[in-house]
Amino acid sequence: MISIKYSIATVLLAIVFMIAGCSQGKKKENASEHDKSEMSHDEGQNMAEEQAEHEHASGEEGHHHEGGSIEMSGNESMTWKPGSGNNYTLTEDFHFIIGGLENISPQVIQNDSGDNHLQLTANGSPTAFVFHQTYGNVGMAAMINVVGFDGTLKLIHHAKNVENHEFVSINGGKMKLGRMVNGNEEVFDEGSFDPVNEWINLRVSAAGTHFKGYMGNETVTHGHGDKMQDGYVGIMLNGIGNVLIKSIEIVPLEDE
Amino acid sequence: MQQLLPDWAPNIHPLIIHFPIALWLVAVLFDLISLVRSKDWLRKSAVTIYGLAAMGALVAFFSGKQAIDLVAIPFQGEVTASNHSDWGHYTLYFFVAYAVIRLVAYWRQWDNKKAVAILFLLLGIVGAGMVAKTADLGGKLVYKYGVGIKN
Repeated sequence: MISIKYSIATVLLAIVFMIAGCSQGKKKENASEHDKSEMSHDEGQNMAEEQAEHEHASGEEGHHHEGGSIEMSGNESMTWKPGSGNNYTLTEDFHFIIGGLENISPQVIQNDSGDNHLQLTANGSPTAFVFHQTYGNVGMAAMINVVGFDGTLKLIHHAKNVENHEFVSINGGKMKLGRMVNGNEEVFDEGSFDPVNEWINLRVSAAGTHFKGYMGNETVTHGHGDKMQDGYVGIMLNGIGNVLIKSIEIVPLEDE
Repeated sequence: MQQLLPDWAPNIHPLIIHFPIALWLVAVLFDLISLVRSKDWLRKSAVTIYGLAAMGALVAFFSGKQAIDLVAIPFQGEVTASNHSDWGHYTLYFFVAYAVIRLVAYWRQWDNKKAVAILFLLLGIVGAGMVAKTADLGGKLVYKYGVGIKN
């Protein structure tokens, strides 16, 4: 009886080792693909930036006008940057779902390095402007400076109108993640971060029923809710003062 | 807890996740063998290992819940992360429910019957498929999107 048990145990061990061996073999087969695709997040970001620069330089799938420049990459992701036109027309790239140009007085300014920034001077009236295209699952990253702004800045997505949208908002060192449904706010999560007196990379992702708000690479808020219908993405301001925008990146998140 | 981690590990999740996977597969093998050789110790072992796998899944689930907010995920990997999280939920619920049912079935001696044993084996294989799907998505997060990889 004991020898039968030992035999069975030996067979089991052999099977487990065989499964482990097969798994290693598969890993080796995939090694070349892995080498190509494996990258750290930072490397990924750097590569994305380099790719964007490359596409910018070669004029690949990008369009420029006096206002902003939009660069498209192969996976339909898009990076918007303010152009250098003196008579910048925000509505070339965006449309308003509340408020208007008179509430934010947009103008393109240039820093010492020659980089263009879109400066918005908010007068206190709620104002939201969104890209013309709609998205479903989406990631959005905005390089912004809110040092001169007193109020709430939202990255909005899945926006139908001002009363129906999803958002990540910041006000001082507080971040809120949630959605507006028929004008009623539903908060998924709230968090705090160290306010910095410099440019910040505010990011939001909506993947199915999972929503996250990031400050740079750090997850500050993470919540869940029903999946909403496709909608616009953009920025909403409710406060007074200056907001600077260096770039806005939109990445459609593909389902598998 | 963070101080106990090896220097290379971004969090405890990758150290835990292999236990429920391996334990579940071994339990399924015990079920398979007990169909051929109907021995009480085989059924008892299978039930015990399913229980351990369910406990391992519980720990893996909570460690994953903590890990997801500690790592940087590129936008392209967000859907995979969401699906990994969802499948982690489904797998946990299945493992725990199945382990409880197996415990009751062993206590009541229902698993002596061949038809019940075959049904349990099939459900065990379903569980193996679920944990394989969860693991596949987790592997994709690491090896395709570089989540949790330190520079």
